[in-house]
Amino acid sequence: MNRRERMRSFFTVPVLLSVAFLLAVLLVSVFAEQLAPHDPDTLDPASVLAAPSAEHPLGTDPSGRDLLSRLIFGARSTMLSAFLVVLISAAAGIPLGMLAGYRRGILDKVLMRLCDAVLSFPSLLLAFVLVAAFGRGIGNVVLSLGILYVPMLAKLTRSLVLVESGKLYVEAAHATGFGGAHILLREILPNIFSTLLIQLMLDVGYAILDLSAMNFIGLGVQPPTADWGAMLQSARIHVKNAPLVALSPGILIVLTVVAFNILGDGISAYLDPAQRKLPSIKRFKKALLRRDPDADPGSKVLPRTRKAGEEAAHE
Amino acid sequence: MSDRIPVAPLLSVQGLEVNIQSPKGAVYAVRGADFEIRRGEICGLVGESGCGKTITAKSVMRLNPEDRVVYGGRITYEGTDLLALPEAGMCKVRGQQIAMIFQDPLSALDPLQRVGKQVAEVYRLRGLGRREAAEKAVEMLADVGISPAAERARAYPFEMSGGQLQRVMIAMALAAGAELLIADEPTTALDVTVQAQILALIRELREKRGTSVLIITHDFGVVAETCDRVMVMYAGRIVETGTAAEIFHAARHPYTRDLIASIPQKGVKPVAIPGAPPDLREVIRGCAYAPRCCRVQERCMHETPEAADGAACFFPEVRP
Repeated sequence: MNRRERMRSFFTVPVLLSVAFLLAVLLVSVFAEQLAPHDPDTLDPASVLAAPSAEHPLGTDPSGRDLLSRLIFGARSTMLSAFLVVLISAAAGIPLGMLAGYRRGILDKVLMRLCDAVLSFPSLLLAFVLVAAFGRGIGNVVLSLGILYVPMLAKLTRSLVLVESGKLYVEAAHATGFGGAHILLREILPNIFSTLLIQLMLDVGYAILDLSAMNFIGLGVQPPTADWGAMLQSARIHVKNAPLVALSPGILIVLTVVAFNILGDGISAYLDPAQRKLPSIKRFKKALLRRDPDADPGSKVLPRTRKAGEEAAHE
Repeated sequence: MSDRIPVAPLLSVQGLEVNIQSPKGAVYAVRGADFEIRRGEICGLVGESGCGKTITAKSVMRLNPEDRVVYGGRITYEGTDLLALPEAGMCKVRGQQIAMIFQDPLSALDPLQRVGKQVAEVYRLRGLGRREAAEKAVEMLADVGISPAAERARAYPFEMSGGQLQRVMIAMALAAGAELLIADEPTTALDVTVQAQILALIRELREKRGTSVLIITHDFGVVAETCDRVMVMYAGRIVETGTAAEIFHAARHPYTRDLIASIPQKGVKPVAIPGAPPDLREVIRGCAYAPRCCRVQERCMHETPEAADGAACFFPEVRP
């Protein structure tokens, strides 16, 4: 298989569609002000739940606000807060899980029992408690959900580290004289990363849903701020007479979550060299510079006269 | 026998006991093993499965899980008692003094890193710069017979054959600067021709670099081909030590004799050893081999024989 074919087989239709969709969502949320036809918060009592028209491409919501504009601004709030939730949980959960799984002993026991304690409550209930303690507002909701996502991620990371620690290559690294930090960060982390990545992508989806639940109760974004979750919840009673109002934020949430999952699978396949269908980043750069997509430096037989160290120096 | 010059051995193991704690009770895996490895010597450690060979080797590198293993006796490497060394000091011994290669080289290498990078990492550990380490790694790969080294250094482990991967493992051990190489069944996963090449490489190391090697195996063919000296292990003890020729043609311990008689050979019907090895969770009284031994006498059931003139037996075969 030459490079062109390999690249074609990585950029499958689902992966390309996901990337395109996520890029579109990203661009729309960045340039919301420029793209939205109307102000998302202007009420128009004269046209409540209007059908799609030239003025309002997707119609209006129960308060007469332009639906398309609200979806465009909602993308910003939804994506940003969901990402932050996952980022907070990853920043705390992955290091804690790695430490617990690698060090074992008393640290592991204490951390895991703490995680069990948090997981034994319904997560939304605990989120209420945390928001009650921190105060309402989207920032505190994001922080609370971020904290609540830590235990699952820590437990997953720990179990992945436990599995990897038992593998021979870790023992061999130990026997070669590498210290704990090197083994943990340079050997174990890259090997569990693809599984973690898939979990993080799933967590983005969960975060969007949990955030919308919090917004619905009124703990998160305050009206009239546009947010897909909040819009879905507030419009659900109109699903019979104005289906577009209720369904459009829901469809966007579903599409975003699915796109993240497909992208996550694609990336994790790329991270495994045995499954990799795309050239590595380094080779990719080289190929671009050379503007010769069929040349493959890896499979070229080097002339015998070339000095041994030379090729490695390119690395 | 009197012309032996007393040279301090590189590694000396005295009365090693390894006791593995498990929820079902303690397993006495090694029960007073004594042996030594001299500089530039290739030593074989043979015995049937479960007799404690691998545990002994891992004890030398302290690779057993320390929270579940209790050691007894002494392991002295160049005058240092390894069992008394703190973990930080042990990290310097691992790799730089004693290195280990494994039965299955594919799973002993990080699947996500190019092999050249993995060898280079060992040089980096020793303080070399990134570029220099990469160059040295390619040189080392060429030294252990990988060609073309510069190109193969960019391969991932799954792209290489078992024999090549075992060469990479050896390259890593050498890159670390080890003086003693412990090879735990290094050729079991390889086919016979590749096996011979790897053994030739190990012998070459000894000639060129003076590396001492401890080969753990249950394959007498490997022993005959490679080892200067052979130690036979049974139920956690070394029961007989001798040169390869002595062990093969003039073994003194009944277990060694039975073991050699059980190897399938052309024209000779192999003889199985009756009975089964002892349960290592139990205390063994007397000689561990007594219940299966053809020369067993009353004394063997009560007293544990100490090694005398190579064989730990009260009634060894007398050499002509």
